[in-house]
Amino acid sequence: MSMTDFRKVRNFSIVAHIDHGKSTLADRLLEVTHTISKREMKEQVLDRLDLERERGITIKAQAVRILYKAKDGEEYILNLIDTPGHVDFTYEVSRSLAACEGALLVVDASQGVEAQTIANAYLALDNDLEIIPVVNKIDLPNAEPERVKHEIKESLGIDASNALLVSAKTGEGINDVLESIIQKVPPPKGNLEAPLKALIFDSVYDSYRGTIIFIRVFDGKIIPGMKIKMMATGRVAEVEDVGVFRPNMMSVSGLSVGEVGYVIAGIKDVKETKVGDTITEEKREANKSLPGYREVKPMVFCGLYPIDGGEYGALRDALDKLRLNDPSFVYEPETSKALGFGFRCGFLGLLHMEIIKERLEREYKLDLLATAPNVVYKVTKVGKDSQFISNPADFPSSGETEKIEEPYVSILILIPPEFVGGIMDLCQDRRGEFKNMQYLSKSRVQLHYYLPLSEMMFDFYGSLKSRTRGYGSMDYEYVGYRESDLVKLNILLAGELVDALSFIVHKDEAYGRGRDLVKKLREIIPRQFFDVPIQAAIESRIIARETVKAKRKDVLAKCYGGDITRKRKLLEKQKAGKKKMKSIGQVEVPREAFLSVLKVDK
Amino acid sequence: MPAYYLERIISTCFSSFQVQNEAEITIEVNPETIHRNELNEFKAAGFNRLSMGAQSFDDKLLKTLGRKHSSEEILQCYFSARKAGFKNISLDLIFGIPGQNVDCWFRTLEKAVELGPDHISAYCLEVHHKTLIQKQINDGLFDLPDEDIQADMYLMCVEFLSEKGLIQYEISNFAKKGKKCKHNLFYWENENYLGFGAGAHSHVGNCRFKNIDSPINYVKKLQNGEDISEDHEELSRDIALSETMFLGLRLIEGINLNEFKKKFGFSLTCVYGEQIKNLVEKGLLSCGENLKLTKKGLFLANMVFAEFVPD
Repeated sequence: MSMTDFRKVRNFSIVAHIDHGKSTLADRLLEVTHTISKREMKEQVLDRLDLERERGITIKAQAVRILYKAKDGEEYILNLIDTPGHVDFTYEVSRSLAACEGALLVVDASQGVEAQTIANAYLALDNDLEIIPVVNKIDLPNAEPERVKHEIKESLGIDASNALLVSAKTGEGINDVLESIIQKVPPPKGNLEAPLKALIFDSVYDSYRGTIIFIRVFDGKIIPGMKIKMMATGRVAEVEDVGVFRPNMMSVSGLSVGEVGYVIAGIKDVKETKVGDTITEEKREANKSLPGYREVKPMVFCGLYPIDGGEYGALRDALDKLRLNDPSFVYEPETSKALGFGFRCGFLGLLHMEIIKERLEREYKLDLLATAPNVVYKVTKVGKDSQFISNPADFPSSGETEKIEEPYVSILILIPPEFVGGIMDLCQDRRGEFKNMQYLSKSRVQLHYYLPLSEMMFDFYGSLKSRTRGYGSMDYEYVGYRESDLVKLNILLAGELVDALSFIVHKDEAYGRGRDLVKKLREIIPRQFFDVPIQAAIESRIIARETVKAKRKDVLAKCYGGDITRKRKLLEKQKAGKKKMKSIGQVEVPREAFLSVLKVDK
Repeated sequence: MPAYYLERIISTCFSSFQVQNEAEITIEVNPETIHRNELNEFKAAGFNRLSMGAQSFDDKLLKTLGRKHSSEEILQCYFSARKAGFKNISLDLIFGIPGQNVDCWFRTLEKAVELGPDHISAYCLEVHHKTLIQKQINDGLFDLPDEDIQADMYLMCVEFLSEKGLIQYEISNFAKKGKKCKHNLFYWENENYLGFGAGAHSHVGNCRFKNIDSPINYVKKLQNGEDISEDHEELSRDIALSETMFLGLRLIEGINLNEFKKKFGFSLTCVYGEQIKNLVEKGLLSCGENLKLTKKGLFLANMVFAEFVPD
């Protein structure tokens, strides 16, 4: 069996801020090296989900083997590992980067360094990767490569004087990128004779073949027939197939030191092939697993309910199916007095939540009602151990608690200097704690804050964008729990507490938020056949009240022989509109009401 | 259309069908297009009821509605009709017109009642798509009175007309004793009817259909012995039931439970029991010998009707 000479392998990744051209550069590399023919080429080849293409983001990791004949006359194997590009998936990104020796740091020649540029570059540096700065989109008339190089140096301390100047769109400079990868990215190191050690950097579920595990081999080799073991989960399996992505799956006789590809081992559940876990041989176990593995925990929760209670079973089946491919998302049944039967679902972050929700509605044609997302609180009741609470409805009353903690994030914000004041105000309003400020260039300032994660839910990103006329960018990472003075705000509709509208808020903001929310709800809830009082309350104390006045007139004046059919259709439409709403007691509530808490401007 | 055409139509009806002695034969007229002597001719042709599109007694609002007649012409038309011998006259009125307030509407009702009509239809303005008035509203030239004002107008109308002896018998219709519109009652009781002429609608058994709209083609096809009907709709039992409900409930006396059972062979409560219970609890329906809208339900009739249409 001929195994690849690992001195001729280069494993690399591309890191960039969103829209700086990562996918276009990947497309161009595949095209120039004839990995994909022009005929097969479509935009964002590596992004397989429709959602990925539409949003211009990558959700699942990908790996492609590129064969490249370099100027030195040798043929090299380049493995491009495409990583998800969003803060929700930081752990997955870090594991994908751990599978590489180098990374292309792509920065838009006119936009310059953005928050994700920095966050992703730091992830790459943390994994000891060789970083090759690439200034992209140099064909743009407002390109300023020199300024951008300066920003890279200032923000990351990386020498960018020799940064590659590229236009992925026109293809200019693409060959220099390939040559740089060969020259600068170190070849993999490893021991061919040692017991197998391979990193799982992703896994996907295929209904025919079971779980397809994406791996990078560090030591030894993996071949079909081999008994393997996942070191963290302890799962043992027999290898059925190994292969590489060209970019379609192609079986090979085996993968050895430095190589990247896939393994299929008859495993039905992606939960058993966790990202970051190490695969070894069952008979000859490696004495130590690869560093960096951790259990990912959902950070953001919301309730998902079918609008039509009869679709509960269909929702459960859809959740089961989605989870096959996404073990980082969790759910369990819950019952709401207001909404009936549904699920409490946990996600890595807000984008992750939106993606899952959208897939459920699109791919499974479900009509869903989502409650406002919340973080997980750590609550210590008097004389008891602390517990984690992921549903505001379960939040205890203030008399019972000794200590309440909430998760904080460290947030990095990059903005033009003229917006510093506005953004510092925003962070202040969101209970932010200032850490530091740094001028990266004349046009770029970096702000660093600690912020409660819950404040990020209240459209923090939208506020950042609108206050910087679109020029601000941000990235954040979780830093741990901190004690906070929090209370539960309840909403009552027609005198009935609606558990699904309860939310947790800082004591100092409870009044303001309560007042704003009842106003907002009064606008959203249509007039009913009776007056509907809307109240906000902390414990039993009412702090705000509004009334949706009863509907007074809803009647078609005329109905004669010629328009009976048309009038019936109007009535059918009215009925269908009503069905789209959720009835809570006698009150018909539109879906968006449950998210209105997020829309309240501060 | 000249009166002698109408005379021919009516005599053809009499020679083709058995027409009851007390049959109601209505002609609709617009004050702007009618001449005094024509009214005599209509009467002579056999019409015994006249329905007049008065709309409003406020000249400014008539302009807003795009009507060419004045309030003076309504009076002339009305008195001419009485002189011509019409003993059953109905006036159509509209409220909820842009620029109209409750007082304005009250003055129109007063003037209408002063004339002593036998019947009044009072409609809240419905703005239809692609009409001039809709465009004017969209362009900000006009503002429709809001829902609360419309409700006040409607309430005032119902109370005022009943004080004056014009009893409400349908959502928008009011009549002196014995002067309910028999023709329209047929629609609301969901009975069968035949419509003749271009664009006329019919309901026969479990089928609704209409005649083609173009008069020229209508005549051509008839001469060639071709079918002139279109838009045939077979009514399923569910649809027929729902139509019986939302038409019947338009009548103030509602739907008689016994008659319903006679007509369909099962009781109303056994098909719509749940909806009825729910709507009675909400105070929108009342159920005794008849199922009918409450006063509150009258104002929110669509909320009630929507419960009876199929999904």
